[in-house]
Amino acid sequence: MANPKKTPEQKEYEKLEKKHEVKRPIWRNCLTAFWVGGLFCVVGQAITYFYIYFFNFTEKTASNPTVATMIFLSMVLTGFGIYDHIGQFAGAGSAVPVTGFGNAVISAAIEHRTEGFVLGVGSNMFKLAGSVILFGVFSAFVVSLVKTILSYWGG
Amino acid sequence: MNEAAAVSHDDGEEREKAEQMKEAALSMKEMKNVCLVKGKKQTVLAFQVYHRHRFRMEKIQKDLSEEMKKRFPDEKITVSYDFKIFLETSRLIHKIRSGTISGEKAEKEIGRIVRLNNEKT
Amino acid sequence: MRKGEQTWEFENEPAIIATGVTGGPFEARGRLAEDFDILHDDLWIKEQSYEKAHQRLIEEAVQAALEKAGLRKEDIHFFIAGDLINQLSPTNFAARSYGIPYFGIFSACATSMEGLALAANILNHGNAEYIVTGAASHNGAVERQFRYPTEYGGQKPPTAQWTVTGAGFAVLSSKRANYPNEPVVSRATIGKVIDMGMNDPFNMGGAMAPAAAETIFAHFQDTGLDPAYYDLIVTGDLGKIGRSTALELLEKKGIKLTEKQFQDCGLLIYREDQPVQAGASGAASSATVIYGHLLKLMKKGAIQRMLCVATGALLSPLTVQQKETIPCIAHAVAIERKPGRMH
Repeated sequence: MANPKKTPEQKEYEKLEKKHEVKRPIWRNCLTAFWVGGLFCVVGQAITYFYIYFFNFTEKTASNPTVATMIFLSMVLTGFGIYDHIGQFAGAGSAVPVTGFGNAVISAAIEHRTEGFVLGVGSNMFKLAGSVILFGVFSAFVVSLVKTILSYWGG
Repeated sequence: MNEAAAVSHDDGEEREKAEQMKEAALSMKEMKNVCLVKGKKQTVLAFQVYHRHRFRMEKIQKDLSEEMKKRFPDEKITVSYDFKIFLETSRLIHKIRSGTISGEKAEKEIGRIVRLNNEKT
Repeated sequence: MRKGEQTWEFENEPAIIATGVTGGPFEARGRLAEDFDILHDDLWIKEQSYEKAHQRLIEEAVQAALEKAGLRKEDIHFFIAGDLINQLSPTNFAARSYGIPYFGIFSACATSMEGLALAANILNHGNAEYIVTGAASHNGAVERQFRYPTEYGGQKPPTAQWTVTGAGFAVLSSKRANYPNEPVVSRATIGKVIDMGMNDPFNMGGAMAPAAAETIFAHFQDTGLDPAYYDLIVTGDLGKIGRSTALELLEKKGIKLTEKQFQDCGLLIYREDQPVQAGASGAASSATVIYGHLLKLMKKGAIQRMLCVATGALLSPLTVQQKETIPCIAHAVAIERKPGRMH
């Protein structure tokens, strides 16, 4: 990776530029991420109860259809061009829940529809979500490895 | 309903035992609601805790389960915090009390609820 | 004629005889909507892909410019244009449908002024009579190439800028005498690539400001003009952050400009309430605002002399991921109104 040392001139400019730069409103972002993310969870909880009340799901098993429903909802919102506006407003609040994953998949799929189904949608659908899957699986592997070793030692 | 117990085949002895089980469960300080149906073969016990104890629900379920095993070593008791199990158990209690379900059917229903509880994701 | 280090003076004064400007839905809701010749209410422009829509924008803008000039495509000797997409395909494909001898050029968002400078230079030396030049960009096509899919819900920081959907083209003529009342291109300063070590692709204004300041400084150095000579010095797409940074850089170099005199196309095109963060960007930002809005003001007499400085960030998605810094460039072209002066 090219990361040469900055010249004094560049450093000086960086300082000058920083004065003009508008900072990310971190506190506002955290706050909105918190309550919008919370709102997503309220919806998810409502769907969970829906499945518990009206279908034969327990608290344990209801999470699967709930996740599927949430992803479906986020895909519909993405398709209608609403989710990216929620994303700009809520930031991590809409990116971190599973709906953000759905959005990453479907937005890429929509985007590459113009290159056809196989080379467009097929090969690009997971270009954003792919790394989530890879590192999700990998970190799960590492964690379970650590757990297995520790519990083996711990008896 | 804070607490309720019912039995599939009502005779004095069975009912007495069901009430004892319920009281034993309620004696834990975290218990808010307890629903219990005792059948001939097995018993299902669903509970809800006060909200502040929700994070420890798994532990409470384990403790209660062990406690029940100690106090009633001859009984086969399924203990669950699952909301769905609670819902189904209390529905069954209503049916038994209103007399719309036979003893045989209630016994089967208990079996169904226990199987539901054992379902993995 | 070359003057000083990096400036051309066009003593034969090639004239900008007509312009054609097209835009998308976001521009239609912007502040300068009435300065566009054609506005589309859909990003797809009824095409199969964003890239085709991009090509349509270019074709329509060229067509509008030709119609206003009263010329046929056979009259045009050269076509000099560019955009931001890989291999310039939208512009190349548009050039295919016109069949005019063609230069495809790339200076990112500075393409518009690079084209204008080159066109004026060719005309000035009598190597052509009519040239069409301009630049275009398409929000959807650019976003998907440089950033994320358009519907992806990532949060953009307040330093980010919004790529303009549009195309701005101008017809230039060497026959100054035939067009006595049209604005002329009098000088151009070709910029050097400047890299101040900025590497945030969501803060292009901050990266491009030094290039703009450098080129403006060189322009006054080479020409010996006083900054007050120009009614307006307008940058292409510096945005809020880039503009105020450039203003300070210029002041440090001894060039004092008033807030009113130093404007930015990226801040003119949209309304305050449009969610564009720091302003507009893209090759079409300078092209549409200069060829649409500002030349109209000039014809009305509101502006006599302006210096158009288009700035470009020469990054690619690859260099961003490889953590390279962002090299930037700026080209300045002076457009003046000299009515009634015959040659």
